[in-house]
Amino acid sequence: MEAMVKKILIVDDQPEVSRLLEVILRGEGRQLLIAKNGEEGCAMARSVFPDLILLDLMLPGSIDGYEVARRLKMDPATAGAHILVMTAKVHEQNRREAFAAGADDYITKPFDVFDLQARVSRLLG
Amino acid sequence: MKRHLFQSGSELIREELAGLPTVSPEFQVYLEQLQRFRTLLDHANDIILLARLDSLRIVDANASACRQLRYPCEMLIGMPVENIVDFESLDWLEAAGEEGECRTILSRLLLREGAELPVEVLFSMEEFADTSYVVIVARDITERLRAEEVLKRSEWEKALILESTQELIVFHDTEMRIVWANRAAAESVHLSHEQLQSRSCWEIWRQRSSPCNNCPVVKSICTGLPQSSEVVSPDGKVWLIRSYPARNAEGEVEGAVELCLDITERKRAEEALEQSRKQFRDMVETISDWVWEVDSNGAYTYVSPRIRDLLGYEPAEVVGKTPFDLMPESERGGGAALFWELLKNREAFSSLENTNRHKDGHLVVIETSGVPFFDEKNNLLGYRGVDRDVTVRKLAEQALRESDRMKTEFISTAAHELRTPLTSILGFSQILLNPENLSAVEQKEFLTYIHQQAKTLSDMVADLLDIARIESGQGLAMRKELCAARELVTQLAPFIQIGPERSRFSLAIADEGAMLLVDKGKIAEVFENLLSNAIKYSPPATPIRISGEVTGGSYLFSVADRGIGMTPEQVVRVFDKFYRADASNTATGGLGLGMSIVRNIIEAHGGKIWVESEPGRGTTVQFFLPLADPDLLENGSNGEENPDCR
Repeated sequence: MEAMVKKILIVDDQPEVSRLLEVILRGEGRQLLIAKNGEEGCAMARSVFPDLILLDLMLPGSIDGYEVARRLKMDPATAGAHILVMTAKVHEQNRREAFAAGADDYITKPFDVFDLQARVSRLLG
Repeated sequence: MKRHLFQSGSELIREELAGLPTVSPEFQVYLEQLQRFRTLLDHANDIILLARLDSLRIVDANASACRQLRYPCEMLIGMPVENIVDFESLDWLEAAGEEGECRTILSRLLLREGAELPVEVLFSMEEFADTSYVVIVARDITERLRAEEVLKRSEWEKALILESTQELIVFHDTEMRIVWANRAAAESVHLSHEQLQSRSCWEIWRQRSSPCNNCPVVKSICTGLPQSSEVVSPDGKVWLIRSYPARNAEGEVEGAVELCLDITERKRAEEALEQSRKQFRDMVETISDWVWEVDSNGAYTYVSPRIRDLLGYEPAEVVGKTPFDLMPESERGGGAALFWELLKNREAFSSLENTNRHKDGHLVVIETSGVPFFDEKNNLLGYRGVDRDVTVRKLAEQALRESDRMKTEFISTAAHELRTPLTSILGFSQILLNPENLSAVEQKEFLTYIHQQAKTLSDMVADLLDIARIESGQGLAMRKELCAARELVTQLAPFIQIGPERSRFSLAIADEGAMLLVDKGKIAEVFENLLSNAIKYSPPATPIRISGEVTGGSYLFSVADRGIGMTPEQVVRVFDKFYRADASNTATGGLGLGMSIVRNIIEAHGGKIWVESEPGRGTTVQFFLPLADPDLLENGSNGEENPDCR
């Protein structure tokens, strides 16, 4: 049973957004984890091996969302995690850069709750 | 045929005498005398003819007569005088015969070949042996006439020259009497040449009784050197007077030649030209642009003094240099190449931007315009033009571009910042639309988020409105009231006593009863901005100190953190609109308006705000607010007894 639990790591510096995601995505067979910045996100990913990472691009501290994506995709231990970038950056250039850094999907804030749920379900298979 | 005694000259006489058997000694003496006279006669240069008065036929002629009239002696003897002497002279001759007079006249003798010989001729009557003779002595005057002709011609030419000139020419003797004056001189006073003679110029032209001061004529006579001066006559005409000493063959000064030229028109033209030059120069040197001229080698030939203000050089330091000498090394080659290309095509140019180095080393951006100029054969002589300092304009343009860039960035940032609270508002409200699976606690929690984020949005919009009001010059709407320093800090309670970061704040408020006239809400806004910045830009749990005290006539507040700090460049710009020191770290949100609004609020209170910061050490923001006027306290409050807001 334990192996069936899908781990979702939320990396966002704004507590209310993390809480919103938690509420939207919570459910049977899912475990939600929250990191407040890039360093914390990388560390948690390496210890819990999440199935999906919801990643904000603008993060306080020394590494931003792009860098988190690059690092996790480079590391064979975490490369398997799907990355859903979730950001207020709406430019096409940001989207391309995110995909180049290893993102599997990209959704802009503010987002539609059902849209997000659908994307998460698809990524989790 | 017996030869005439005179015919053969003295040699013949000697021969004839030799042929006679014996001669008495007296006759011998007589013959010798005769021989001497004959010798004298034949050696005379003059033509001497003897003719009988009755027949007017020549009876004797000397050797000169034969030679000059070109007849052999035997042809002359017996020839009628009229063959040789012209008719007019014959009348004289006859008159001479009748009256027994001796006359000299100018006439012509007819030569053998039909030519004529001009002569001065003397007719005289002689009588011997009861016969009257006419003696004709004639002298060739060809040379004299020619010399006279030459002299006459020369005199005529001189007169023509002197009379034709418009210059007044007067020759004075050493006593300053007029010896001669040309027509122009005479006409200038409506007198004849003769009326001028022997009088003095000062009396004729100036109605004076003595020479004028510094008269160049007097000076040239005294010094023996040419002299000149300009003189204004009573009629307002300007004269250029030159005087040359006239010397005789011995080199002594015999007088002076005075030349007077009316230069009134020339002076007027010169003055007009000078006036026009001055006018032009004044204009060129007054305008704020630097006016220049370069020759076809690109070297400055004229530089207006304005260059002192533009580049710090004296004009003389730049004349001879090229524009490229004034450019920094990096621009020199390109500038020169462009100039030679323009020169080759004889093209004018305008508003060419280039950089010059000021004498003190700093760079000045200059806009250059110029046109080529040519000589009458259309050869290019150089360029003339103006240089304008556009450094200030360039800086303004740069500032404008920067401001524009910041505005664009601001709009992008603002849109982004608005999205963040909207995410929570839209997300939570969407969840709340299906509240079946939510507990009452959760529903309240979500509504609280929505409310908080709506408040954040509202604050942002308020900031935008504030800045728009400041921008449009309206200023902030202030509602000032009397208030104690203490109260301003008390209203920060939600932040420093209740907020999640409350443990980090320390307070040190002295003189807390000091009274200020402030808009409490606006000052709260100032503190909120400063405190949230302090929290945002310093590590968790590091202290943030809020202090206050009276200094001078003001109350000084200070907010100090031990955060990341700022570089001096960031400090300088911290109050600029849309400026965010941490633009690279977009995670720390904000519109970049906070500090700009803060400064406006403080200044609207008559206060001042400044920042001290050092990267890695932290930032201290200090501001003072003026203390309330004591009169106002007397009339409007109970002062210390009731220090809180009224």
